[in-house]
Amino acid sequence: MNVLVILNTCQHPLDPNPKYQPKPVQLAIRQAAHAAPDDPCRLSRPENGRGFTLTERYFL
Amino acid sequence: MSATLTTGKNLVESKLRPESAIYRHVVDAGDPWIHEIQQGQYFRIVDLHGNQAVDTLFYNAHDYSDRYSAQDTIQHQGNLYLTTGTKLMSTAGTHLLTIVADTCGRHDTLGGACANESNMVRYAIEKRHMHACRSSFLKAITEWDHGMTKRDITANINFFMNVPVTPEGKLTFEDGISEPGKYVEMRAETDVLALISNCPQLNNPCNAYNPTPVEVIIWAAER
Repeated sequence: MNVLVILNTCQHPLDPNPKYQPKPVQLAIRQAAHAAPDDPCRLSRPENGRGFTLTERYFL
Repeated sequence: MSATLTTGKNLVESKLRPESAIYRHVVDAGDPWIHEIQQGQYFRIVDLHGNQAVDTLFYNAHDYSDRYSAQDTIQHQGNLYLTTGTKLMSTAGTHLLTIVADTCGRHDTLGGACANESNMVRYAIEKRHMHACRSSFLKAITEWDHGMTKRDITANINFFMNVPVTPEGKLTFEDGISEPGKYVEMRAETDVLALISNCPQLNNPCNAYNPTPVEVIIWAAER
């Protein structure tokens, strides 16, 4: 699925640190292969399999 | 953050009597309901037959973009479950309502509302057509006709629904702990719009596989 991601590095609202000290994170994107029929994520539970089915319908 | 609740159920009965209410209405099994509640009024939901999930959203009646926030409510009280004493908070930090009485003891705000889409993922692709709460919400806001759209349907409360979180963080849909006549009662701290889907779901135990009617009751503000 093509997705839009939005993130920020603000501190969590429940962070006990009284000072505002956000830290950097590193992002990386790489090409992943399509989830094969025997992909563990697809097979881990029936809900996952149906989720993959619905996603694949966007690309018929 | 103020941690006001540290344990689960906080069973408190109300002194208000239905005979003195200004509004009473039975929401039939599977139906939606939408209604404004004024500041200071008391709002009760009665689980008439027991084990009935009541999916509920609240909005600031003067600004629908300021609406119930599960995250802010959980953060504010430092607890995942809703019961007597819970302040229902909004996205803008508005204190919308306070739960002032609760004879059930635990209400969920993590499990979300069922949808045609979730019917397909959770149960079976061919169950898309089965009735679901998000469809009921959409029907109600369409008939309400005040410009609300699908984007206004956000994370909700599931009154009377039992969704315990295990020590390992697992979310489980368990049999309900509510019984016939159990109720939850709130005081509106500002003017709010209440939106209910009396959950029509037939595929999990949140309604004991048998959706039933609930009653909504409103009392005037104290003078």
